[in-house]
Formats: sequence, structure tokens, C-alpha cells
Amino acid sequence: MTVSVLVVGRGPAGLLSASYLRQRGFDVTILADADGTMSMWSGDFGFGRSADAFESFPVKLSQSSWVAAFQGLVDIFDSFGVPLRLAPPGVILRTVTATGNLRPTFAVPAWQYASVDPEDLIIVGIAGLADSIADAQAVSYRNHVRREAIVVKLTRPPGWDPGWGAIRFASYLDTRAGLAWFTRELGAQLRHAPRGVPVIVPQILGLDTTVEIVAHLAGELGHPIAEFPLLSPSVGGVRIRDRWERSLRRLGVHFITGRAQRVSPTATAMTDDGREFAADYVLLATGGVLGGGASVTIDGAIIDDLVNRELGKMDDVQSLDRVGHPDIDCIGGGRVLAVGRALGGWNPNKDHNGGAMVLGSVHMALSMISED
Amino acid sequence: MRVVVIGAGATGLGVAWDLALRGVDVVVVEAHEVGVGTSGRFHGLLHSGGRYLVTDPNAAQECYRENVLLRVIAPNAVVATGGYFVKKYGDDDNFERRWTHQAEALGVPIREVPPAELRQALPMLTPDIERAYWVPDGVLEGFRMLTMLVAAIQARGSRLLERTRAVGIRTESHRVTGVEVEGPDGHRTLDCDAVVNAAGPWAGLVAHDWGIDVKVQPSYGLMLIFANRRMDQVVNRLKLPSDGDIFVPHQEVVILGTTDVAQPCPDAPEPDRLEAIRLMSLGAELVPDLGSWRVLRGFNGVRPLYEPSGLTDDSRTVSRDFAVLNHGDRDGLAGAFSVLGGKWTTFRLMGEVLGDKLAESLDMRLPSRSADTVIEAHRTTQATSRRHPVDRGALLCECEGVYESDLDNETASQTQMRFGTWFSMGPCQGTFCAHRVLGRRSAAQFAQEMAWLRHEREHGLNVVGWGSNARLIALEQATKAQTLAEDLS
Ligand SMILES: Cc1cc2nc3c(=O)[nH]c(=O)nc-3n(C[C@H](O)[C@H](O)[C@H](O)COP(=O)(O)OP(=O)(O)OC[C@H]3O[C@@H](n4cnc5c(N)ncnc54)[C@H](O)[C@@H]3O)c2cc1C
Ligand SMILES: Cc1cc2nc3c(=O)[nH]c(=O)nc-3n(C[C@H](O)[C@H](O)[C@H](O)COP(=O)(O)OP(=O)(O)OC[C@H]3O[C@@H](n4cnc5c(N)ncnc54)[C@H](O)[C@@H]3O)c2cc1C
Ligand SMILES: Cc1cc2nc3c(=O)[nH]c(=O)nc-3n(C[C@H](O)[C@H](O)[C@H](O)COP(=O)(O)OP(=O)(O)OC[C@H]3O[C@@H](n4cnc5c(N)ncnc54)[C@H](O)[C@@H]3O)c2cc1C
Repeated sequence: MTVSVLVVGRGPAGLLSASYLRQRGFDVTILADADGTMSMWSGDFGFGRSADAFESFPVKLSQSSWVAAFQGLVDIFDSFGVPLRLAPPGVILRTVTATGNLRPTFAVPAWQYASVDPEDLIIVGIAGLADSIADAQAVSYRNHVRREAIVVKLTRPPGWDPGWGAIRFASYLDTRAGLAWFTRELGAQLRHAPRGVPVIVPQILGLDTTVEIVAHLAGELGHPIAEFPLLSPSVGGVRIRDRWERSLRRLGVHFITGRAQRVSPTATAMTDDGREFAADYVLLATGGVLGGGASVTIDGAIIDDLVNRELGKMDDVQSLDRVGHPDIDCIGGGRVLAVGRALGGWNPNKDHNGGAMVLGSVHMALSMISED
Repeated sequence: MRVVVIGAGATGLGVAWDLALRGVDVVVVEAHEVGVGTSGRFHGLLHSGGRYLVTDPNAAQECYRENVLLRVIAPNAVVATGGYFVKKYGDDDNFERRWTHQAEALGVPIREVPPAELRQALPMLTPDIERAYWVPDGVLEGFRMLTMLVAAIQARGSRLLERTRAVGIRTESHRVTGVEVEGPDGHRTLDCDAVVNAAGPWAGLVAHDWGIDVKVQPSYGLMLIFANRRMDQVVNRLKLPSDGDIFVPHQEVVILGTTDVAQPCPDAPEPDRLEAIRLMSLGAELVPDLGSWRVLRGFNGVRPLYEPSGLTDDSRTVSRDFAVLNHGDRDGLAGAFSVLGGKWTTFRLMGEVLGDKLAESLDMRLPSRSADTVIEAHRTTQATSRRHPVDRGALLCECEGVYESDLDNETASQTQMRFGTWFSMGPCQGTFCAHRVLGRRSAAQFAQEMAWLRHEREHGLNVVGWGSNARLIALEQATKAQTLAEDLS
């Protein structure tokens, strides 16, 4: 008999759980009331600020398990067409943010800029793109790494209007005309730039054909070229989310829209419109306060309504982001498990380990299900 | 004839405007920036006088007169929303009787409103309302009024020196001849024939610098901003003025206030979560479903109440009325004046009264013209909306509709830019727009400006960190740290 799992939430933790579970032949249903945070982050996986960050994680995996977990992640992303670049063990890649800061990462989509040592860069600014602030970005970058940052600027594309956000730019670049415009303009701007210096561009290089666009530009321009991520909706995250969900649907995962109101210890979920879902296991991938899986009452209690449990008090927690269930094994003796941000005890904002902890907690939950 | 005015809040600018219209050469010195004092931390109510009918008849009459006047001379900065005083069952009948009686005696127009009409206008109010009265309350767009005043004063040749603090005076034979200031150009003395202390809650400290004792009783009040404009009229509770009994619709939000806590120092304290919760429960007496409204932020302002007889613990017994002191008569320091207390609504009147006293003491025969001179509308973002869409540039702040072309005032400070365009003041509180706007200003100052804005936005957000606002805080923190790595800068 196939084992059934109900995953509540379709953020990165929910999608990752579904992928792993499907791989192992489980019957998987995803119930979520909204999009998760995948479309808000660029898609590069934070591991921690330092090479031995895993020692501080609430999820205890050996170093080799971490490496295996990341390799598994690379395989899953590969399966839906997102090449991930993995840092070798003990090495930290750094990616550049839209404001010119450097951020540690462990696994990064191939289209996104990352390097182990800081390098001289050419930063592309694009008129008409709200998130593009190349001059300020370059100043921050120089101040941080004492490396050169040359700014080149492109004018607005033909047909532009003030409604163009990053997604609109990206779909324009997916067209033949858009790519031709971009290649021509950027080529003109780079004519006098020092050869071979990496070029970083705002994350607008297409939604569907990014890999091809990056290869095309690198070939045409004679510079390594990669993107830096922008804010929400993040084109990088949207690319991943869309490919990931499509592939899960193809693999037979059921997606159901609805808000779970109660999850019982016997792994039954009830929605606010009265639907009931019984499964062998429930994974709570509900994302804590940010994801909507926990709420803060006016007197400062942090509560997970789904399982009717108080997770902490505002006064006691230093940061909202540490809040969550104390254990993966949440309620019901191993049949209701908390993964991703629903699990407490870690702070991705402070430690830059959001992606790693999603991966680690899902990995652990899976081993708990498989052992049964 | 040169007058130095200390403080660029409503009072100082009201004084400067009145004097400038009389042909006086005015220099306003402001320690920080226009509006960082109480005038940028008030409730936004253009008083009809209704609130003070029983407790402060003088103030009530002044408020009503100015209310009517400002609609004429500053139509771009006041909104005649109208308001209601509502009496709940059990609220003091005697107070209601005195209140209606005073309204008639003082000539403040009120009109009893049938409960059904009130329910239609404001369905969110408690059904426990026994009687309701309409009053000519309105909304005072404080930030816009300040901007208009600055432009109007400068257009008449007077000057504003920001980031310039008055630190003392120079005198010759008991007469003021100059004001010592510290500013971007260092320490210097501004020559003058008279000086006006309009430093609001700090007025006691300024007077102290002059060797004069002036009792100002600072008392702070907390206000909560709700993210949606859920009501279109002002709502007051019809009882002895107290805490948490007024709702004011202001642009896209509603503001609930306030509290009244005497404190020794004039600086606004950090808002306190427990006090915010108390304000929520007081507000719920009028709006039972208040707990489901999204709170956006909380902020404190400090009242500059003048207290002739010394400090007191119970600040609500102090008069709301204002006082103009001629320190020549009072303390033997000719050419020195203080203007104390009052309300935003009465800023013009305070300027006029001060101007009259000053003119009289200096033997100038120059009548006030501020009551019948229109304060011109300053160029606002409306100019942008008339442009061709493409010329507006990229949309930077989705919440408040701020475009690149709205940033064309390069000399404006961050605060002026914020209050001029309203960027980072909407539902996302700068999460998605702060870097876009600040990154287009000075590249060199960018990191510092970002840190400052985040700090400013967060301390107002955190005090009301519950419900959907807690979720926004989590998003703001994730974006700041994980998308932009501001913590690693
Ligand atoms: C702006 C931003 C940037 C980030 N950047 C990075 C980064 O650069 N690198 C990195 O490694 N990590 C990053 N993160 C990841 C982050 O720190 C967390 O690890 C991640 O958001 C957790 O995802 P999750 O799947 O646990 O929850 P979420 O993505 O929040 O998903 C929660 C899901 O649960 C659903 N849900 C909640 N309650 C219910 C209910 N009762 N019924 C039905 N459905 C429900 C929601 O609708 C949603 O689908 C970023 C996050 C954000 C928000
Ligand atoms: C909580 C609260 C709610 C209120 N609500 C309303 C309302 O709804 N309607 C209404 O009409 N009124 C309201 N008021 C009253 C009104 O806001 C104030 O009376 C008015 O803003 C006072 O303005 P001001 O110019 O005197 O003081 P401020 O605005 O504080 O201006 C004083 C200025 O002087 C500057 N300064 C201080 N020391 C020096 C120095 N040494 N050198 C140079 N500059 C200096 C300060 O930086 C400051 O900018 C409210 C007040 C409070 C506290
Ligand atoms: C009528 C009214 C309506 C409002 N509506 C909204 C709204 O719709 N949305 C919203 O988000 N907020 C709104 N506000 C609140 C506003 O954003 C602030 O919260 C409020 O003005 C108090 O300031 P603060 O709490 O940020 O205090 P502070 O952090 O102390 O700052 C006060 C101001 O002074 C400046 N400042 C202080 N010290 C310095 C310094 N040393 N150097 C330079 N600058 C300094 C800051 O930049 C800031 O603008 C409203 C306020 C009023 C009075």
C-alpha cells in the first residue's frame, strides 16, 4: 500500500518535501492557501556565514550528510532545468546584492553571480528598472571589498512604460527583439571596458530561456556574464518556482488550494471551508510568522493555530525569526512533522542559513518517515 | 528690521509667516529639520473647538475661528471632513449638557445627528451610542502645511537655516542684538533686532540659555496608525477629554490617539508596546472590531504645554491655550519673546499675537496680514501626474505611487523627501522601495541613509508587532537581511 503524505504549504520547504517524497514513491498532496516565499528569494541557498556553520544548526546532520543533502538538491534542480552550482566543502561563495553587499551562499543557480574571492566587476545599470541603482551599488561594493566596480548604463528599451517591473523586463528578454536590443546596447557600452572582467546585470535575463540567454551573451560579448538578484517578486525565484511546480505536477503530486484550519495528531487536516484530508503523515511546511503558519496576538503570544500550540512570547524572543516548533516531531508521535521555517530555533536573517535549514529539516523529516 | 525665530515647527513658521507679511526680514533657525518636533508628531486634527468646549473655552473659540479661516487661506492643506462627537450609554449626561450649552454660548456650530445617520456614515462604530453630534472638525495636512509655509516665507525674502541650533544670545545694555548659533558653518552670531523662542517643548531650555525661567510642561502622547482609511470623518468621544478617544482619517490611514503622560524632558520617548495595547483597548470602546484592523505603526509626540505656575504631575489640568511672553517687560531682556503652548490649529493666530506684541514693543506700525493672505500651494507631486506617463520614469514606490520624476528636488533631505512624496509610508513601510529611492540620491551617502531610514521605520513598526503587521515585520527583516544583506554591510 502506498503511504500518503499531506504537505501543508508550498514554499521551498513544501516543494522540496514533495520532491523527495515523490522520488521515494509516496503519494503526495500539497495543500496551501497561497504562494510561499520561493518567489521572494533569488534561489541561492544560504548555509551560514562561516565554513563550519553547520555545527550551530538545530538539525544535527554530519558534514558528509550535508554534502549529500546538497548533492541531492542539485539533482532535483537539475531534473527541472535549473543548474545549481555547489560550493566545494569548506568554501563559501559570495553573491552580490542589488545594494552592493556581499552575501554568503552555498548553492547558487548558474545564472546568478557568485565567487569565492572578490573580483573587479562591471555593473550594469538599466534605466527604467526601479531596482537598478548601479551607482550606489558600485560604491557599496568598492567599500566592502576594495575592488573596482565599473558602472555601465543602458537606456530604456523600446516600448517601455512606467509599469515595467522586473518580470516584464524578463519576458521582453525572452523575445528575439528583446534579446537583440539587450545584446546590442550592452555590446556598445562594453566596447571600451577591460576585456574579460565579469559583467553583472540585474536579474532580468528572461523567465523561460535564461540559460540560453546567458550563454548567448557570454559568447557575443567576450565577458563572463551573470545576474544579481532583485527584490520581490524575484525573477530568479519565480523561474525556480514555476519549473519546480510544473515538474511536481508532472510527477503526479496533487496541488490543492485551501487554508488548513486544524491538523489533528492522527494526521487529518481540516480546511476552513470544511474539507477534510486524511493521510499517513502531515508535513507542516507553513513557514512560521512570515509564511502564515503562526500568528502573533496583540498581547505578544506567538501561536500556531493549526495545532493549537503556543510557540513563544514576543517578550522572550530576540527576533521573530527564531520562532517555531521546538521539534520536527511536532505533535502526534511522529505523524505530524514541522519543516522549513515552521521549525524554530534558527534565524535565517541573522545567520544566512535559510536554504540550508529548509534542506536539513526536510532531510530529517524524511528519514523519520522512511524509518517507520 | 531683522528677527530671528528659533524653531521651525508650526509655531515658529506661523510667526515667521506673520512677520514676513509685515515686511520684517526673518531668519528661522532649526536645530534639525522642519517638522521633526511635535509638528511632525501630532494627530492631524483640524480642531473645531469641540474638544475644548467645556474644559478650555478660550481654546475652543480660537480653534473654531482658525478652523474656518484656514479653510479659506490654506485650502490645499486642510480637508473639511467634518466630525462627530458620540456619547455612549453610561457616559456622563451632565457633561453632554454642558457641552451643548457651551457650543451655543461660544458659537461653535454643532448638529445632533440621528443614530441611523451616524450608523450609515460610520458603520464600524459601536451600536452602544446614545447620541451623536456633527461638528466642523477637519484634517490638517501638517507636513504639507509646513512645506507651504517654508515656500511662502522664502518667497518673501526670509530665510530658513536648518541643522542650525540656537545656543545663546548676544546683548547690549539689556537688549538683544544677536543670536548665537551652531550649524554647518560652525559657530556664528546672527545680528538681529529681536528674537522669538518658538522651540515648542524645548522652549524652556532655550529660555534657560538666555538666563530666563520659563515653565514648559512636556507631556507625551502615543498615536497608532491603521493601514487603511476605514472612516472618512473624525470621531471623538463625547466626554471629559481623555485617552484614546479620537480617530482621525488622514490620507490613506486612520490615526487613533492619544495618551497624555507628563515627563521631565522634551524629547519624544520610544513608543511603548504596553501603552499601544492600552490604546487599542480604549479605541475598541468606540470601534469594537478594532483588533482586526491592521496597525501600521505607533509614534509619540510631545506637547509643549505652557504652565505659568510651575511643573505639575497632572498635565491635563494645564491650559491648552497659548501664551506670548515679552521678556522685555517680564525679565528685563528687551527684544526677546517666547511663544508657548497652543495647538497646530492655532499656529497662525499665535503668529499674529506674537507679531502684534513685537511690533508694538518696537514701535512699528505694521498690521498683521496673515488672516487675509492665502498661503500658496507648494508645487507637489500633482505636477508629476500631469506629465506624460513615460516622463515620470520608473515607478519606485507602488504603495504611494512615487515615480523617479518625483525625486527631482536634489537638495531635499531624506525626511523632506519622505514627507514630500510619502515614499516608505504606505503598507510596506519601505521594505521594497527604500533602496530604490535612496539609491537614486547620493551614491556616497547611500548605506548611511538606508540604515537611518530602516531604523526610523522599524521603531514605529515594532511597537505594534502583532497580527498582519508582525508578518510584515518578518518580511521586512528577511528582505533586508537575506535579499540585500544589509546586516553584512
Ligand atoms: C525575502 C526573502 C528572501 C530570502 N532569501 C533567502 C536566500 O537568499 N537564501 C536562502 O537560503 N533563503 C532565503 N530565504 C528563505 C527563508 O529564510 C526561509 O528559509 C523560507 O522562507 C522558509 O520557507 P518555508 O517553505 O518554510 O515557508 P514559506 O515559504 O513561508 O511557505 C509557507 C507556505 O505555507 C502556506 N501556509 C501557511 N499556513 C497555512 C495554512 N494554515 N493552510 C494552508 N497553507 C498554509 C503558505 O501559503 C505558504 O505556501 C528568504 C526568504 C524571504 C522571505
Ligand atoms: C500627541 C499630540 C497630538 C496632537 N494633536 C494635535 C491635533 O490633532 N491638532 C492640533 O491642532 N494640535 C495637536 N497637537 C498640538 C500641536 O502638535 C503642537 O501644539 C504643535 O505642533 C507645536 O508646534 P511647535 O512649533 O510649538 O513645536 P515643534 O513642532 O516641536 O517645533 C519646535 C522646533 O524647535 C526646534 N528647536 C528646539 N530647540 C532648538 C534650538 N535650540 N535651536 C533651533 N531649533 C530648536 C525643534 O527641533 C523643533 O523643530 C498635538 C500634540 C501632541 C503632542
Ligand atoms: C498626521 C500624521 C500622519 C502620518 N501618517 C503616516 C502614514 O500614513 N504612514 C507612515 O508610515 N507614517 C505616518 N506618520 C508617522 C511618521 O512616519 C512618523 O512615525 C512620525 O512623524 C514620528 O516620527 P518617528 O516615529 O519616525 O520619529 P523619529 O525616528 O524620531 O524621527 C522623526 C523624524 O525626524 C527625523 N530625524 C530625527 N532625528 C534626526 C536627526 N538626528 N537627523 C536627521 N533627521 C532626524 C527623522 O528622519 C524623522 O523623519 C504620520 C504622522 C503624522 C503626524
